[in-house]
Amino acid sequence: MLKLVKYDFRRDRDKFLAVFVITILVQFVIGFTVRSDQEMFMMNVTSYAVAGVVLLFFSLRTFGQNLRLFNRRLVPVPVLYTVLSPVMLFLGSLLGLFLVAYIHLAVDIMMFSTSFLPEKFWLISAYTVLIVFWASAYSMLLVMFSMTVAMSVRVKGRVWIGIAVFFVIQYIISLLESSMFDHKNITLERAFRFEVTDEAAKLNDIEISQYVLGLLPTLFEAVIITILVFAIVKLVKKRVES
Amino acid sequence: MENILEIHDVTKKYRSKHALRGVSFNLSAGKITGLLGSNGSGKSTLMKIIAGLTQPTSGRVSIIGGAVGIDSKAVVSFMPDKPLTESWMNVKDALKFQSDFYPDFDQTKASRMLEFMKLRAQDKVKDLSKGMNERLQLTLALSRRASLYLLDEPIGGVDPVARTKILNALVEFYEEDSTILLSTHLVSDIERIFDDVIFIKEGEIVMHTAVEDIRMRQGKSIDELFREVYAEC
Repeated sequence: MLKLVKYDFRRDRDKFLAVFVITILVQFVIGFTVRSDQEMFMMNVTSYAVAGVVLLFFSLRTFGQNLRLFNRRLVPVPVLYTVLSPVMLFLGSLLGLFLVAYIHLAVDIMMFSTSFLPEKFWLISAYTVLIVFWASAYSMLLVMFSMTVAMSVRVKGRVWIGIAVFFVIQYIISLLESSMFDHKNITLERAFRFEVTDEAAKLNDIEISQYVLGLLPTLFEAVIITILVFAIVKLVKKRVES
Repeated sequence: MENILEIHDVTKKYRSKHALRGVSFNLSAGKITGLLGSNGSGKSTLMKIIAGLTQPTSGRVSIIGGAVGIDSKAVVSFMPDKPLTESWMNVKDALKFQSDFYPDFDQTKASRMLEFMKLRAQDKVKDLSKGMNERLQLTLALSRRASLYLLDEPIGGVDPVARTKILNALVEFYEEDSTILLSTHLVSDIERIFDDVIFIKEGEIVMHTAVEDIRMRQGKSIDELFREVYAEC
C-alpha cells in the first residue's frame, strides 16, 4: 500500500509542498506583524487549521482521481488499499503539518519562554493531536463514502447526490451519537473544545476531566468507520465504473 | 488446449440501452484475435469487463479458470482507449509504475521496445504527440509477460507512419504463447496479423472464425467482409 501512497503523493507533490511553504511563510508574516500574544496564537492556530483543510481537499481529490484513472483501477491490489491510500496520504501530511507547528512552537519557546503556554499544554496538545487525527479520518471517510455513492450512479447531478448523501449520513450519525452518548464525548465536538473552569485563571485551568477518551463513543465511531470503509470497498468493486 | 479467456452469456445494460447482449466466446493460448466492429458496437465495453473496470449486468467472465479480480489483473495486460499514464510522469516514471505493480514486467523488453519506438526515458508524457503517446501505451502493455493482452484501438487516430510502427512492434514483441485480443475498426491496416476474428455488431457477436476460413471458403479479405457486415451501419 505504501507504493500507492507514494504515487498518490507524487501526483500532487508540488501542491502539497506549496501548502507547507505558504503555511510557513504565513507564520513569518504573523510573527512580524501581529503584536498581541493572544491574537498571534489564534492566527497561528487558524492558519494551521486552514492548511489542514486544504490538505484534506487535495487528498479527497486524489481519491476521486484514483477511482477514475485506468492505471489505478487496473493494478492488482485489493480495493481496500485503493480506499485507504488517500487516507494515509492525508494523515501523513497532517503529521507533517503538526511537525511544522511543533518546530514553530520550539522556536518560540527558545526565543521567548514557556510562560505563554497554559499549564497542561503538553497533555492537552497530545490529546488534541490524537483527536484531530481521529476526527479527520472519520470526516474524510464520510466524504469519501458520499463521493463513492455519487460516482456509483449514472444520472445527471451526481455532485448534488453526493452532497445530499453527506448531509443525510452526517445527520443520522449525529442523531444516533447524541441520543446514545453525552454530547461532550462525541469526537467532532471534542476536537477543538477547551473548557476554562476558572475564569480568573484563564488558560491555566483547563478542565482535564474532558480529556479522557470516552470508550463507548470511540467504539461506536470505530464501528461507523469500519462500515464506511466496507461500503466504499463494495461500491468501488460493484458499481463504480471508470 | 486450455482456454485463456471464457466469456459466457455476458450482457451489459446502461439503463434501458444494451451495450452487450448475450456475448459468448472462448480464446485459447497463442492466438491474435481481432475484435472488429464499428464505433459503438460494444468493443470497448467488452474489453473493460474483461479487464475488471466494469461489471457485466449478467453473465460470466473467466480468465485462466478464475473470475475477474486481483489474480486476473496480474495476468491481463490492458491497453485501454484512455492513457495508462498520468500527466506528471515522464516515460521512465511510467515504466517504473508498471514495474512497481506488475511482477511480470520485463525491464529488458521495455528497454528494447523504447529503442524500437524511438522513445526516450526522459520524455515528458504531456509533451508527446498522439502517435508517440500510442507507442508509449503499447510499450507499457507489451512490456509485461502477460497471459492475455487486451489492446483497445491501438492504431486509432494515429498517422500511417505511426500505425505501421505500432503494428511492427506488435509482431516483433508478441509472446507466442500468450493471447492478444485487439479491437479495431481500421481493418485493412491490421488484418495481416490476425489468426481469428470476432465481428461484433450492436452488442452481439455476429461471427467468430479463423481468418484462413474467410480467405479460403469465402475468397474474401477481412476488410471486404467487414464492409459487407457493417454496410448499413
